[in-house]
Amino acid sequence: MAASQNKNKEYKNLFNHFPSHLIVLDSNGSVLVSSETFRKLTKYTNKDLEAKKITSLKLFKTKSGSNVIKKIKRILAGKLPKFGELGAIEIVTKSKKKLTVAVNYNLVKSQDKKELIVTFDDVTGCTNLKEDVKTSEALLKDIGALFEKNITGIIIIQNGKIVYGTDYVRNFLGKDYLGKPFVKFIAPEYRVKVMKLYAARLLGRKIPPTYDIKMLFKGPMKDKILDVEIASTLINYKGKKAIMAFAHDITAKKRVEKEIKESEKKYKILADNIDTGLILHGADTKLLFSNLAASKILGLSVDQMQGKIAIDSSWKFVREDGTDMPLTEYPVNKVVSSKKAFKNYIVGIRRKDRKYITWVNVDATPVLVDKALDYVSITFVDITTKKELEKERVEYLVNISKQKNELNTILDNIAEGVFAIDKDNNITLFNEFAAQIFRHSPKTVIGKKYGRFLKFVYQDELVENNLIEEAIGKLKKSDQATLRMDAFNITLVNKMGHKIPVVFDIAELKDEQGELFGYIVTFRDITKFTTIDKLKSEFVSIASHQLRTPLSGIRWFAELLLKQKTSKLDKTQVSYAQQIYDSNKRIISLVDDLLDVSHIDSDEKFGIKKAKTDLYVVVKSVLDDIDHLIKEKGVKVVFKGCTPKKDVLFIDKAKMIQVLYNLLSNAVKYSKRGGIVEISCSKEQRDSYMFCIKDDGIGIPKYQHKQVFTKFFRADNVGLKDREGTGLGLYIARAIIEAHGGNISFDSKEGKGSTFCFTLPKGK
Amino acid sequence: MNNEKKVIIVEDEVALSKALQASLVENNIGFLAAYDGKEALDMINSQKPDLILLDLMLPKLDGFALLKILKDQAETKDIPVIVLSNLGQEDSIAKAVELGIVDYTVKATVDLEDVIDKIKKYLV
Repeated sequence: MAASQNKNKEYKNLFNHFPSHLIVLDSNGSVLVSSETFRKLTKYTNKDLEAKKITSLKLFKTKSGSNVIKKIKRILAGKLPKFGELGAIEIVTKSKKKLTVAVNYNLVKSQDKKELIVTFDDVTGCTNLKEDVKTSEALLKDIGALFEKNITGIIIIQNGKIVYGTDYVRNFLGKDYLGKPFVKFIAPEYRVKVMKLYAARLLGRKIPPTYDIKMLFKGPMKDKILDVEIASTLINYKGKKAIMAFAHDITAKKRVEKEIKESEKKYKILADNIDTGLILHGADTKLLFSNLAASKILGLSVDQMQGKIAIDSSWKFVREDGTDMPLTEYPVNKVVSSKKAFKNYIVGIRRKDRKYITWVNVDATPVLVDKALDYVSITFVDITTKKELEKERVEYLVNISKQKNELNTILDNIAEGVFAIDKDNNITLFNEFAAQIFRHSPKTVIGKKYGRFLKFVYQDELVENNLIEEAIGKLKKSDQATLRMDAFNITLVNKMGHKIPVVFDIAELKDEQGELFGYIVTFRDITKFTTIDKLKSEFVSIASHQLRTPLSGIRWFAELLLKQKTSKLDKTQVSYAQQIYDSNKRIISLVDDLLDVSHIDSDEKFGIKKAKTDLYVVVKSVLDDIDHLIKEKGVKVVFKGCTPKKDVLFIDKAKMIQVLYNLLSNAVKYSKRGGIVEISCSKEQRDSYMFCIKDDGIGIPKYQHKQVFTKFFRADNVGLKDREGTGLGLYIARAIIEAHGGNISFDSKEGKGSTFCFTLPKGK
Repeated sequence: MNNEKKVIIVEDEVALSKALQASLVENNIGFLAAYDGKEALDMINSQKPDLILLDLMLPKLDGFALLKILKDQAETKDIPVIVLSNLGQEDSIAKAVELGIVDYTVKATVDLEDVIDKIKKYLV
């Protein structure tokens, strides 16, 4: 478009030598006004012209002049068109010089009065009209040829009619446009505008160099409205004034302009609606354009960035490793110096007013025109969050692996076996200790079903049952998350078939959502503990034996003193010997009890040897044993419910004597002087016997009831004199009863007495 | 009781042996004392006692081994043996009974009087 405008300008200059001179006549043909140029041309003064009838002017006293006067009269009379050309005439100036002028006219209305504008163009310079025409036609041809290429139509309008048109015009106006009024081809809404411009052009007034109108073109099929840019100029054509119009089809241009506008709009919308920052730098690194995303990422408004160069004090670029970026590495500078595009360049932007660094991933491209750098296009994406996340992730992973290492070190160095299984029974973890005990390497077992490798069984069960399965089942039923399996003698069977006593804990493994994903089992090798336990009971029995020997010596020699057969002691000495004897006896019974307790603690059954036992006999023998106590206390003992030889049970006689001895001696000991001790024996359901020993003694304080059957229990209300026992009697009694499958219980009220009852199954 | 009947006391603990001896003297029961298993075996084989008081934990030859030898010899197998031991465990008692003893007594739990009663019972 710019090119055609320039060409129009050139042609305007080309025709600028056509000056315009005019006079305006009133309806009577008198001169109303004349232009200065006209007066200069004709040398007449205003005085010579104003208010003078045109017919009286000497100016037109030529043959062709008089013709023009006649025509003017007819124009004013409305007998000729309102505007047009009157052809070239000769006029005579005041200085008697003859000039050839081309005359045009335009009848206009001014304040309801008719006025005729007559313009004169001095064409004297064009010596020969015929030649002039020739020249202009040749010129037109050249111009036409020129404009054909630019798709510009040229028409010449004379007297309102199209008198000439280039070939190109035919494409639009059809074949028969010549001789037709050009107005016909103007879109109705533009006709007034065009006519005004046409008149102004004829009158030599200033009009815009180009203007856009719509034209009606006679297409091959039907009329078509096209946008046309018009440039016009006044020319002399065939000796007469004519308008040469250059018509340029700008429909395409308009469309393109519209499209450009649209696409600019779209582009703007697009540019502003993407997350990618866009920046356009000039070759001098000045920032020419930036989009919304660029503003958002950099935190700077368009205005703040516009025109700035890359090296600005308000920001500093940082390399990916956090060090300052030298100027040569700035994206723009890199492109400017290398003229090469690059991608995925990580740049940190540190701003004075921000504590954090904004990280961007930059793509940059040079825009070259004729190998010279025109622009630098830079696009970038904010990766700050991504980078932060990545940093966090890396830190997290480092931490995790640290923790994992720690955990593994712990797992591999603790003296407990640890392994985990998933829901499908595959081994997922197997620590060093587990490996040593099972004699399987973690490599061979991890990822495989545990059942093949890890066996836990009850010690005395012949069938190899899998305890893990059982434990999981129990765990599922309970509302606990962990379960300890130590109530039984559990052994682990390793690869070599060795049985190793263990206790193990099993716990559920749950993820953050509480979803179960497996189980973890920790087990402890208790071989040492069982050995220690054995050693302990061995020690106790040996120690007891070793203690008993000197105690026997004390007992026997005290006895020899008391018999007074070998030595004569006085009464006091005898009582001293008696003290030695009694104290020694207490130590002996204490040792005996301790021995029993150590048996009970190491073995629940502690060597119960059952045999047919007559209950009556047992009770009687105990009563005989404590006869001295009974007599001493003056206690009345009532024994009922047992028949000799009838009530025979399958029990351990010696142990049962021990139980009854403990209970009966307690009952007597803690009875009031002259009190009653009742022994009752009754047959219960299912061949079991119920024994009760009731006294009316001091009873046991309520707050101590819970401790009655514990080791070393002593009732607080027992007098000093009676504090003889070891506090193990009831503990041992309960152990013996329970070893027989029975139960022992009591009822007691302080000051009122106690009743101890136990059940005994008849046995085989 | 008369001095013709002979009891052999097999007890390595001198004090206990002395106590037993004193008691036997008081009761006019003839006796000999051996202080280890070997001495006891020799003594029994040469003296042919009427009763043996036997401790189980003995130096040189323990009570169980001695008992086994005695029960394996025709001339000694019928001599009544009363075990006087401080081994109170069931298994020790059972083992001794199996070897044919007549009584098993835990020393610490009895008076000398009780021991004399038992001796008299088997010396008749």
